[in-house]
Amino acid sequence: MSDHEEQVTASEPRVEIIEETLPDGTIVRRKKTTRTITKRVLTSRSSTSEVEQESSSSTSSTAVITGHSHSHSHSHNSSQGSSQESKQARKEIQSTQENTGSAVSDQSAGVKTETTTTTTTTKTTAATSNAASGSGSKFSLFGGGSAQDHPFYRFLARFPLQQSPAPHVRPRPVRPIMYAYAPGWMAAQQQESSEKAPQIVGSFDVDSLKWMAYLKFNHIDFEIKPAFEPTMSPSGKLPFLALPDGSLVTADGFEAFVQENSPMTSSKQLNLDEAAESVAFTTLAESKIHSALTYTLWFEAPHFEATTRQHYFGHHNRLLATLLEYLEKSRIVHSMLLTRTQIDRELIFDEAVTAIDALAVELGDKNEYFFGKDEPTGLDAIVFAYLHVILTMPKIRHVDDAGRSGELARIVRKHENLFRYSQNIWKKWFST
Amino acid sequence: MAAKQPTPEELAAHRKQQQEFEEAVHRIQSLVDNVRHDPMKLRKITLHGANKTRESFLHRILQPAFQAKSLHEVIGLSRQAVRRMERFGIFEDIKMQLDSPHDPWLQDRKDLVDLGIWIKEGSRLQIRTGTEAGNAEASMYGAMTLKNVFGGAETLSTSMAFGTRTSSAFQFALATPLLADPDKNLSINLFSQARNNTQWSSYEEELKGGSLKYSTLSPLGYHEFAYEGNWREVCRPSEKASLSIREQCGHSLKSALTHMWVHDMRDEPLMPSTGHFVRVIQEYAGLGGDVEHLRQEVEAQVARSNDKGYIVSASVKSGYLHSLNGKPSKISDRFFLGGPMSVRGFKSNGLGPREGEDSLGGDAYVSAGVSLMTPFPGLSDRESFKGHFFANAGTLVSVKPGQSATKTIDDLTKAPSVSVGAGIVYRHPQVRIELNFALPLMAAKTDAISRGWQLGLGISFL
Repeated sequence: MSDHEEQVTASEPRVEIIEETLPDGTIVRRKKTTRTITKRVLTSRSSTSEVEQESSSSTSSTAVITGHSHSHSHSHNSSQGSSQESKQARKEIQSTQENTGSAVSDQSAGVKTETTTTTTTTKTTAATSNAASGSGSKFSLFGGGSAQDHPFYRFLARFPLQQSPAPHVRPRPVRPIMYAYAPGWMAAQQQESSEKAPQIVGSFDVDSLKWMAYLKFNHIDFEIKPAFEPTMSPSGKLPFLALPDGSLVTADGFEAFVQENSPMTSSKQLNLDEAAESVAFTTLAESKIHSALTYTLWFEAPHFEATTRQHYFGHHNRLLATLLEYLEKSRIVHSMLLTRTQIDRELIFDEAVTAIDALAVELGDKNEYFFGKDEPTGLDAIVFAYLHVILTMPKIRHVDDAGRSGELARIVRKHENLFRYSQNIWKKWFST
Repeated sequence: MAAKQPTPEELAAHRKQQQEFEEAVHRIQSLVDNVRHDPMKLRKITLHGANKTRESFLHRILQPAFQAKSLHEVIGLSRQAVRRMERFGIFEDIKMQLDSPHDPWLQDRKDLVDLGIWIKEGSRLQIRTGTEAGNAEASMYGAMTLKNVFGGAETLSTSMAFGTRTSSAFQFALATPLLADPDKNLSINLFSQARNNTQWSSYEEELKGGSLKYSTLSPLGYHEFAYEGNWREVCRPSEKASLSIREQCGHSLKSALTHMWVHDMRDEPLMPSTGHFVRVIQEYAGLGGDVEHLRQEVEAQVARSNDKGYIVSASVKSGYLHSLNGKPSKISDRFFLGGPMSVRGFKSNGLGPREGEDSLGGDAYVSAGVSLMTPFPGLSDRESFKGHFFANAGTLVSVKPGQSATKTIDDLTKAPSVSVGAGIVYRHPQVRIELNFALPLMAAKTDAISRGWQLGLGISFL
């Protein structure tokens, strides 16, 4: 192949999602990405017959190898399982080759076509027996698919001679689990009084409560696991959602996740004007009310000492909590100073008053939800989260406080409709 | 502290010196043999060349020599004092000389003697940089050591290292002998470390802390008592981290007392051919901090050999972590098992409870190994190359708080992971290297198996 021209064309990757129900009842969801790469080699030499032969045979074998190694790198099964796996991969290749059969038959003397089909099989459901990790990739070091048939590797694959059951099995969750700051402000005290373990509802953290509300509004069933360590999340922020299939959804992915999984039809779709307004009010809440709430939570010393610290750092040792809260406070100061030149309490609260007034006007007196809808939207989730956290915040009776930490709640309570709105949502979506 | 390799010339010179010294001593000994029990007292000691070393420190070392009552004792005790001085490692070259008093008034006193000691103090500052490999870890380091800082053989060292398993480590340590006794050491350590455990379990760990250590020798062996305060953070779970690992993320504070006892009677630690070794580590955590546990670890090894170069060695290791506050243990405190230096035929830390690709560690483990080293065909005259046959077994289980001991023992004995294999061992002066072909015979379904060739490089092997 000294002098030749190569022409490589790649088709757009095709993604298929296949759902299979196995006999034992587990649902296996496969994502199959098929991408056809066609390589045309224009050879001027006459020894094409040999090359051609090689290429036509390699279409099937390379495909098997790639499919094979992918199946190993993505799902690690025991040696017995892996042979099944490779068979499945083979089948898939065959099916994709039927699709791309025309490309293969496009051969003529001097012009040969090489088709490589890459099939990536991602098993989104972890099979119950995950073992012998990476053993497959070791075999593929020695010449790909044929290595599996080598007597030496067949001998090796017999080991271990005896297998005992896994010492640790974590049952797969049935419902998505949301790792979030939970439960709400008052729940801790209630829990102490009533002996029976109540279901965890609500949160003292706006972000956690916002997404809880959003999921609930879209009728997605999930359970809440209290978590206080943001580092556990892939995004470094709580909350995040762990799905039964093992994948994780962080704040960036909630919206898309809800759209895919919500059983609701899009009847409550906002029109263009409403969508624009929704964005505006979301921004308003997230900038103006957020600052006032953050200030109240973290910088009103008596309030911080009495509630915020216990909720965010209560699970830590006292010494460690002091250190961590110092770090967190300085992080918050830095993030606040990114958007403002100074942290001025009066200014922050003035802005919050304006924002809350605007929300009260927009909601109106008769509407159950924003924009007069029957079903709550994303904006409702955000506004509710702020109002609920503000309104349920424990009251501080302290000389130094002098009612300062309750100021935000008083501002909200001035608007009867906002107060009612928050209460209604809580009763309707959370209390049951 | 890596020992500096002396050149052959140095060795020869040293040997010659020693020989001369011994000859001289022998001559003196035969000379004084008939007068050895005559009463004699050490009048004074003159020390030449000690500029940086504190007088009170030297005083303590040399004081016992004044107790001598006869010539025999004078010689014995002053030699002991000099040997003690050598052991601090701050003097490079020590010479001693016994002489009759120079004082003209005492010239005729035959029962008094002066001791002169000539020393050369080593340089204070030592800077080292280099690369290290050991215990499945490769790292590069830079260290600065100040010896004899306050004139009492105190060592101040700061070091930093970057490696594969310990992604970064900074350490500051001040060590001092107590009461001018080279066997009693007190040290203060401050350290900050980032450990990358993603090879077997998708998380990293950051450690910051300090410790106060006291080590001493007793007739039974080496003891080390320590208090350690640690701020640990399990962080940065990788993308594929399992939920159990994610749930372990976060900060914790450990404040613990530890005691280590080492009884080492082996001829050498890397590839012992004879002797035995016992190490016991106990830890009590719960002096403040949010972990409360008792942690025990026992390790024992026996080695025997014959004239033909065959060595049989057997070792057992076991550990138990008992939670005292009824909470499940944290991953930072748990034990891990498996790998080329532990139970061979399995991946590093690949045994025990696992979830997905992550080893979760366990609260109790037992591992045992038998090795037969044979002369390597064709290289039987080379002691450092050996053929190696082994059988390893190990089991690692988690213990729920409040679980009965019988259940734990039952779990430990129920399903051990067993492997056998053969290979070659090479003993480098600083490290032992093994290349084995290992076959796991019994394994749990989730164990991370490594069939076939496995390379082990380290100091302590099962």
